[in-house]
Amino acid sequence: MSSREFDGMLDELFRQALCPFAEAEPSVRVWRRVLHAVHPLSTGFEASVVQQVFTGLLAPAGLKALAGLSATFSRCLGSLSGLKRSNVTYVPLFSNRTYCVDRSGRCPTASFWDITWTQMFDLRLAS
Amino acid sequence: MSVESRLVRRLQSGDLTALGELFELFKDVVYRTALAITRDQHAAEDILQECFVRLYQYADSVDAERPLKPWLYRVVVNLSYDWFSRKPTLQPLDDVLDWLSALPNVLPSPDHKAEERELHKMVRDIVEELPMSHQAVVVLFYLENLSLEEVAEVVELPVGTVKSRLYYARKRLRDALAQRQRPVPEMTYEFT
Repeated sequence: MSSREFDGMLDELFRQALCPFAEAEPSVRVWRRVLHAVHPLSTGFEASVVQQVFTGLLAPAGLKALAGLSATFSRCLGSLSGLKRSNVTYVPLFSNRTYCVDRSGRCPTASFWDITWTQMFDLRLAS
Repeated sequence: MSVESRLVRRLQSGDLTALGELFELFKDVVYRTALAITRDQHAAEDILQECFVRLYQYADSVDAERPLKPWLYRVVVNLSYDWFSRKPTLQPLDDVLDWLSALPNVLPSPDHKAEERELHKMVRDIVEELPMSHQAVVVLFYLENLSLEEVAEVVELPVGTVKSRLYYARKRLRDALAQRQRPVPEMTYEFT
């Protein structure tokens, strides 16, 4: 066997030995960690950024059809984040009653118990 | 303009979905390279994460017209260098070796394949014993199938140095094989 042939055999041996690494796949949690790490780098907590984050979160998992849902969710998050700053008026999904929530989280036009938990999870932004 | 270029441009304008799409495109390449160099699944995942965080942070310095892979390889190799400089003396290798031996299509389990498995493990051990800078060259050349010039570009060394590192790795393997072939000396016992 010539030196070149022998080197070729060694090359092949290296390739075969490293071959199992070609099958390796990272766990899905890495992408979430990336998002968690880059999120503070983006400025502010705007609804558009939240929407991008959630859309980005779903896209790699092949769930692009849920992008619309993530957009809705991000709008809810955006509206909830607004609670900290000012009064927000919203309408529960299956009700025509509006509620106004002040910055302390109270509802001046309705008692707290008028809002059921279902309604609280079905919030939609009125304006 | 290629898909990759468009994604980099979108990322440069702050589009996080572009980062997600780039992650999908390159996560396996980045992860397997990091795993082959570090032999540590947790370290490889950390490197994968940090690689894409840096891509997001330094997107503006990435040339969208050029392929992204060499840039990613360079970050992986540099992060692997960092990891090696910080890693504890004892490495958690058992998990990786268990995982490697559990791959049926690559390392079959029948008895007649046992010797082959042992040989492959020996080769991986030889790679692992190489200096880290040599390991990176071996992984990029043999696992990622980069050309000598491409490896040289990633590790920022002359092609001649890359060649000499590959030669050194082959020499180590050749010596190990010779050692393996050498018969165990027979011992004679004299009973008195």
